[in-house]
Amino acid sequence: MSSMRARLTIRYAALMLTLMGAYAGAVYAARRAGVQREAAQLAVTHGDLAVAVLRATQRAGSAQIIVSDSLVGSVLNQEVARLLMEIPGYVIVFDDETGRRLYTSRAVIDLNFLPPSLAQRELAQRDIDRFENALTQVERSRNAVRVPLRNGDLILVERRSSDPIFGRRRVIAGVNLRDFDNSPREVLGSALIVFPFVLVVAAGGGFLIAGRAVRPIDRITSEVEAITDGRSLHRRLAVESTGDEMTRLTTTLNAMIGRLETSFGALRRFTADASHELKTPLAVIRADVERAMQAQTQTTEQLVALEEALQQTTRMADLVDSLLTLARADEGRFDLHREVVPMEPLVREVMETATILGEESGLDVSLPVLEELVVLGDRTRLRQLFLNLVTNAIKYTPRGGKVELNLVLHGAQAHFSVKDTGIGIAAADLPYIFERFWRADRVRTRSAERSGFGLGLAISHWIAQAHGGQLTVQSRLNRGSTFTVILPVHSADAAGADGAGADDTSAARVGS
Amino acid sequence: MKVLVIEDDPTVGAFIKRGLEEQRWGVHLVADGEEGEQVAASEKFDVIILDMRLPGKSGLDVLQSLRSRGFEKPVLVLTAQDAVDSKVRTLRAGADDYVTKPFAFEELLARVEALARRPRAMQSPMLRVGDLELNRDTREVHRAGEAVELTPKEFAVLEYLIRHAGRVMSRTLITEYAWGYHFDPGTNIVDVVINHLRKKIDLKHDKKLITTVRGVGYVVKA
Repeated sequence: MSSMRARLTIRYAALMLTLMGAYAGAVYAARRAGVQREAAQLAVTHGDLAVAVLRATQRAGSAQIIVSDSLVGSVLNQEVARLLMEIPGYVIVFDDETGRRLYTSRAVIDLNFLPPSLAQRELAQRDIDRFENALTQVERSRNAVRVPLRNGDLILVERRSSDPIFGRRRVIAGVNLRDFDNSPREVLGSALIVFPFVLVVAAGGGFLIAGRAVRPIDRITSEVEAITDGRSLHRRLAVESTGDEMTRLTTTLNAMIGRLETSFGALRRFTADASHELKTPLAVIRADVERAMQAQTQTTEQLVALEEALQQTTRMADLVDSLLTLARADEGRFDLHREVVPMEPLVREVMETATILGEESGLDVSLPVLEELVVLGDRTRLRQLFLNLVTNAIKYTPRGGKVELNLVLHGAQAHFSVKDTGIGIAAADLPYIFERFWRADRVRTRSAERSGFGLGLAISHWIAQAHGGQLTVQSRLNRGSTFTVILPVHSADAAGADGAGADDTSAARVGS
Repeated sequence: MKVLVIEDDPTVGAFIKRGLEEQRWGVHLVADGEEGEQVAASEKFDVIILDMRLPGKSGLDVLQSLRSRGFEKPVLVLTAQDAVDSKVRTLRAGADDYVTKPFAFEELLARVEALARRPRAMQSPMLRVGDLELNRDTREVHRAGEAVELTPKEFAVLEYLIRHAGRVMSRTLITEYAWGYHFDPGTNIVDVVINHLRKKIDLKHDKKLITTVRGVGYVVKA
């Protein structure tokens, strides 16, 4: 469980980190752009101010330019310069004709200062280079230019006047962002301090929450282990009514445990039933044989005892065979050996037996419809299936009742039905009749009349399915039941070819 | 007709041997697969009856070995399982037919005879008890010259009794013969059939051929 917790927490923390980083990044970028914009605005203001000063003084008539000497070149009139000095920041006035700088503000002069130490000098020089580059850039573009200097970035703008009187002058104005507004860095700084803290708290919290969520799974696992230890299948998990996934999990697991319990129970009962069923014939055989061995027993009595014992062995062999068949059915094996089986003679044979049995039980047995059909399958098993249905019908129909057999073709299917007017099956029981050891009378009588193991229908059902068909039932309590076997019909064209392929096994079979 | 029986269980082996000898077969019984192979190689047999579950070399191995050595006569296999795939396997390995345990001797006998294709000339199709005649081939039955109409089951039961005329046949065995296995009628269906047979065969005649032996079965005797 800890690994799932850890995984969840790590993922959650990573997500937090990503989100916080993205947020901080966005805020920083926005602030930076904002600051830059504002600074550019300010620089523009400064620039325009310088332009205004120059124009005003020009109009006033005073000479702006004073040529001092050829070394220094032209400089601006002192008066004008003094006015310009009021403008803060970086200001340069260029004379377009000569390209000379008529005025540079204090800040620009300071910028161009080279300190004595070598290391510092290099840095300063780099700044100067950048600045000069920027000046060139700003001349070409209309936009503000950002210059990274070691004491803060500069925003430079260029201002001109379209006034012809103004002449060829242009003004570069610049604002240092760090002096202006430091908020982006502050944002970043505070993020760096706060975020780790937040991350730790979030991760910690996430870990706890994950643990809380995952603990029920742990609990359920332990409980299920305890329940399925082999003796406690009657127990169930406690279901919390939170209505969430946990509820669904526990409910589903409980249902599964319920099914396990049922099938284990069924298995246990089955084993117990089978043992019981086998014990009875064994007891009879034992008694008979012992009797036959007693000195005072006459020969005829011996024969009687042995005949009874023989009968019991047949019953047992039958039961064992049935159990084996059902075990195979359980494994999902539906293998049968296949041959072409004409249904009409088979049903006639079954009918004869049905008639005999019916006669004995005072029932009217009839076969109104018998169509000619051919089915691909196991003749012995089919006969077993049909006889089983017939004997059931006769067994559970009281004297004076009727049993009707039919073999009808419906499309590509053969329907063999056995309909009786017997005791019927309750609707509540219908879903269970094909289960093992189920019996209509539900009382295990030992009378010859109702003997039988209760496996007949289970096997009949399997035989039908193994032939690719099904066994269905309709019944009403005290009115009677109709069992119908539906089998796929073997096509007549293939019948000719397959007829020759019926194997020796069937040819050698004894009895009909 | 000679048959080699390879069966390790002495009871079952003796049972088969005695039964077949009664039917005038020559029977050689061995309890071991290896010995069986040797005997099969040295003597001539018409059929081999082979139990699948043998100690030592398994029945399947013996079967395959016999076939690969060129034994071409029919082999009837005794199996305990009823699993179809093992049936298919044994048949594919070279067996010609199989009988599952427990088996009724009648069934074994019938299959062995079928495999050996015992010429019918040796056994006449006519069976007679007193003035009752039954023709196995034509399925005609006559008593005192008069034809008797029988249903398939009635014929089967009568044939069985006549074939063992004089012997009391157990009801269980009669049922198994006429209805095969996997059938538990729950009631004594044989009694009903015998009733019908009596009406058709004994009723009009003073001499009753079909006799009941209480608790055991029936016998047909003159």
